[in-house]
Formats: sequence, structure tokens, C-alpha cells
Amino acid sequence: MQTTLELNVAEGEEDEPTTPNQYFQSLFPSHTAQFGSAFLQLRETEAGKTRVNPISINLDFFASILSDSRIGLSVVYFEPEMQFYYNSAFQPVFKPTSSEKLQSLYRGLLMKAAQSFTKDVNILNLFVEFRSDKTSKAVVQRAKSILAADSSFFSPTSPNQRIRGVEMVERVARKFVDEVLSSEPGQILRINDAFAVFRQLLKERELPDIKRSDFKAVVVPLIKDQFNVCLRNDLGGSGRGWKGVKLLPV
Amino acid sequence: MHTTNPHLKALDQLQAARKRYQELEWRLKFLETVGSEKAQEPTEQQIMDWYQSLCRQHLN
Repeated sequence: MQTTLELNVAEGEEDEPTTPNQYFQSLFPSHTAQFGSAFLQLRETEAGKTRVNPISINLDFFASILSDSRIGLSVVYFEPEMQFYYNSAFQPVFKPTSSEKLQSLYRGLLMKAAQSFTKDVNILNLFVEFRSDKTSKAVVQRAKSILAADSSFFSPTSPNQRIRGVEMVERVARKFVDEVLSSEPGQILRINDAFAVFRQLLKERELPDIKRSDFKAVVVPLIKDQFNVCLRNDLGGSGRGWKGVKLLPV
Repeated sequence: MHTTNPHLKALDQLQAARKRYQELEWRLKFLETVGSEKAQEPTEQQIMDWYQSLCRQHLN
């Protein structure tokens, strides 16, 4: 019996995937180019018959394929919150997902592969060892670095949006200042009125209510940047506000 | 096998788009959490547009 260990797909074998490495390379060519082949395979040849046995797994490769731009699926690990998020073209806002769910996706991908092979591939490791809790956890743990995104990924100025993230308040505040306020000499905008409209905008977006102090912390600097006016105490009547700023009808 | 008939070509593309969408749907089922909010099923045209934009991105 002749046995060989292999990592790469042998030349001329790319057309019809007959081994686990070929299978994953055909589905994830760019991931393979970046992280290498999916498995270390053992090829055993005896009496003219060949049998392939995947004996060790490439964790980096499997962590990377949890996110797949070929089908428009984006998965990131948002480091500031230690939380995985995913989105797709049909759901443009990122939603949170759990490590356990990603482990299920990984196991599903291996199961699909195992089901596609004939008797020439030993699928025992694909089905049992590589789908064990230990290996699944290791893959998702590795994904935390491979799919890592920093705080700028969901920043208020980033094109990436997620459901009910803390920066949503600032996004709404920017929209509020850009679209609901205008510069108008002689006009006075009371902070109470501005806060009431802002709370209404949050409610419309099903975002949680905020405290008046948090509203001030976000909106006062934005109004200063946009209209070059500061919050004033000398307006008389009921409370503080801005001169030369008008609230437009919402 | 490649065809030059534009109708068959369009059918091939639609089939490829559906297959790719099914793959995405299959993976999303692992990640989603069951809730009251039901995602709306995309139309065939939306799936086709999505597929063509993916092809443009990956040039395949």
C-alpha cells in the first residue's frame, strides 16, 4: 500500500471535486488562496484503488468561510462588544448572532461536504471528529481574530449599520441636525422643544428613549459644528436654547 | 455547456441566481434567531439583480 500526505489539490483534479480539499477549494477559492487548504489529507493507494482521508483540519480556513462574499454574506466579530454580527444584501442592517449559531453553521458546512462524497473518501473525521464541540468551538474562537472588526466598523459615519447599536442615537442626532433644523436669523430654538422632537424621532425608529443630559451631550456639539451657535442661558422665558436656529416641521 | 440563445442564457442565469440565493438562505437559517419580525421574501427580479451585482464584484 502506498500512502501520501497532501495539502494542495493535485493539478488536473480541479474539475469534479472528489476529495475534501477539492470540494472546499471549489466552493471557497479566495479563502483557500488566503488561508490554505481545508485539510491535511492522507491518500492511500492499494491495488489500484485510492482512498482519501482528511486527518487534520485548518482552523483558519474554516473560521474564514463563516463569512462569504461570494453569496453576499458578511459575518464580523465586533471587538469593542465581543459580539458577532451578520448581514446580507436582503437584510442590509447587521444583526447580532451567537458563537453557538456560528458553530452550527460550521457543522452544517462539514455535513454538506460529507454527504457529497462517495466511498473513495473516508468521511468519519468529517462527520465525527471535526464536527465535535471541541473543534467547532476552536473554529469560532479563531473567527474572533480572522473576522475581527474595530470600533470604526459601526461608527456613526460608517456605511455599516446594525440593529439598535449605541451609535444609532448619534446617527439620528446627525439626521436631526441636518434635516430638522435650519439656520434662521432671529429665531430661537428651545432645548425642550428640540428634545421633544428628537424623542419622537427615536420612537419612530423603535430606539430606546434617552435622558435629556445624553441628548445634550450628543446634539450640542453637532449644532455648534453645523450652525456655529452655542447653547445659551440668556434667552429668558422657559429654559435654555439656541439663537438663530429654527425647528422645521417633521 | 454554453448557449448562444438569449432566452436559454437568461434561464441559465436565473437558475444560477436561484441556486446562489438558496445557498445564502441555507446559511442564514443557521444564524437567525426566531422572532416576531419576518423577513420578506425577495422577488425573482431582486434575486437576479443581487446575483448580477455579486458576479460583477467577483467577475465570475
